[in-house]
Amino acid sequence: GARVRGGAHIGMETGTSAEGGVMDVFVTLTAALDHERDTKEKIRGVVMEMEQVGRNLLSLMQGVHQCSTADEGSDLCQKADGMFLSAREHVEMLKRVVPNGSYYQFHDQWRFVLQRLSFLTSLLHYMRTGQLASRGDVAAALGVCVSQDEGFHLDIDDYLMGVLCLANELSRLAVNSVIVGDFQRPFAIAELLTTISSGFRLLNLKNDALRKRFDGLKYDVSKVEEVVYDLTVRGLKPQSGEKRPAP
Amino acid sequence: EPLDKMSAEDFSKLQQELDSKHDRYDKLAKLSRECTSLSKKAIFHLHRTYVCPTDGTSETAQVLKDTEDKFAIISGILKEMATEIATANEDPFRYQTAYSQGVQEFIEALSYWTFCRTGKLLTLTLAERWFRLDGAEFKAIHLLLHPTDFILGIADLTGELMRACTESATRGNRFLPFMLLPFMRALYSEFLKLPATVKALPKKIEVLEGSLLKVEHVCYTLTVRGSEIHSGHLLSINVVNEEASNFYFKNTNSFE
Repeated sequence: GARVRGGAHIGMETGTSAEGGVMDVFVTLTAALDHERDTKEKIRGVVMEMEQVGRNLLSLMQGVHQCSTADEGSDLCQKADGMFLSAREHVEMLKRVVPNGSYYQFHDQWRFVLQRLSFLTSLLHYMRTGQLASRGDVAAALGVCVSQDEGFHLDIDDYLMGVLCLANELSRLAVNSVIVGDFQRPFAIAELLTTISSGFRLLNLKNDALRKRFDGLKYDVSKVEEVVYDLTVRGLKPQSGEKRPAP
Repeated sequence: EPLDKMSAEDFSKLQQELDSKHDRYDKLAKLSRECTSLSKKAIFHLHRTYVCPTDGTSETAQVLKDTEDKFAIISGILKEMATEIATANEDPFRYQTAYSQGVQEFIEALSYWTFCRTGKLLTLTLAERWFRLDGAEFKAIHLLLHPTDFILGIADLTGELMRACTESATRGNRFLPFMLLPFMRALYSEFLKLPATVKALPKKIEVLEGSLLKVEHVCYTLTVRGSEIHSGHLLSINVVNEEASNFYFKNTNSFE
């Protein structure tokens, strides 16, 4: 039979020449994947701590449904301020572990916690001002930017999700306000939800998570409308400034 | 501190920003589909002619040249996609799901062509040249090619190599299958070592294994039935191996 060259029995063993440079290519690829994995692990560490702060804040803010006086309200806001400080510190830590220009490569890791913090910021802002916080307000409160040009920013979808969560929370607050004897608040909430609702109707949404969440907004609106109706029909709508109508 | 009320105007600005993102995404998805379509056509072109790296014929050279011309068109589309992202000063990863498929298909086609030319695996450096955006106004050159898409594209390549193997064998090509076998094995063993970070990977590796088994089966069949071709003579497997190994030694120098 014919002589076989060297030790390269093609099809019998794999010598390095038969591998066609495969190993070298994969050395480079593996290095890139390992680097990405290391970054993800660092980010995961920070995000997990942020998530706990988020949970603690959420738990604290549940107190909003039991505030019957202005003092109780401002007390709650002060306590929340303390926790927000911690949240901001964690955001600073997060900014440090996310490589420049790689925001969206790892965005999924902090998407949920940032949506939650955005919602809680808007809730606190509502408690203080009765208004809907703008994206700029929320970003400033969390210590992030508004647009990706400027640096680590609050993604527009995450802000909007926060707004929808706020609407949901406020629809619950409308019900609970009546329980604590504040008959004025549901009317204010109804107005705010109308603002949110008409604002959202201006947006062209795709069939994504935001759209699905937006579909729930109408139930929040009708829940508040029911409260408003119940109060109005019983002559319980307070006149200017009062929480309850004069007897 | 002035309290700004969120107005219809504010939501209007949000609408514009969202629209701009969605429009960009749709545009990139469309360009990505063009890449996919052209890449598939390039692959079929290479399949049709059953290019064998050993033959060195002018026909083969022509097919390889034709395919390279197709790639130049695809490269133009990739540059259009990168420009779209770069001029908006956006993070490319924001749109990764829009263009990922097109990039993977192109890598599949490019690596198949590279194997036909050189018998070697496409390198990241070579691939990046097709994605390169020239001009000082762009801060990043290779916006679209990520290691993950490269890896997934190479995984799909093995499917096409398997097809080339089985088709060429039925057409009487006794060399290509034995040339593909060590290459496929090397790819398989490297894929097995990759970290688990890429979600689509386990399934792709499963498919890769299936392709490898088919290639092994073809080589087995050729080995066993080779004895039936010349009555009374065993087909010398060494003859086949020598010609195939000649190709490798002849082409050890890089084609870069």
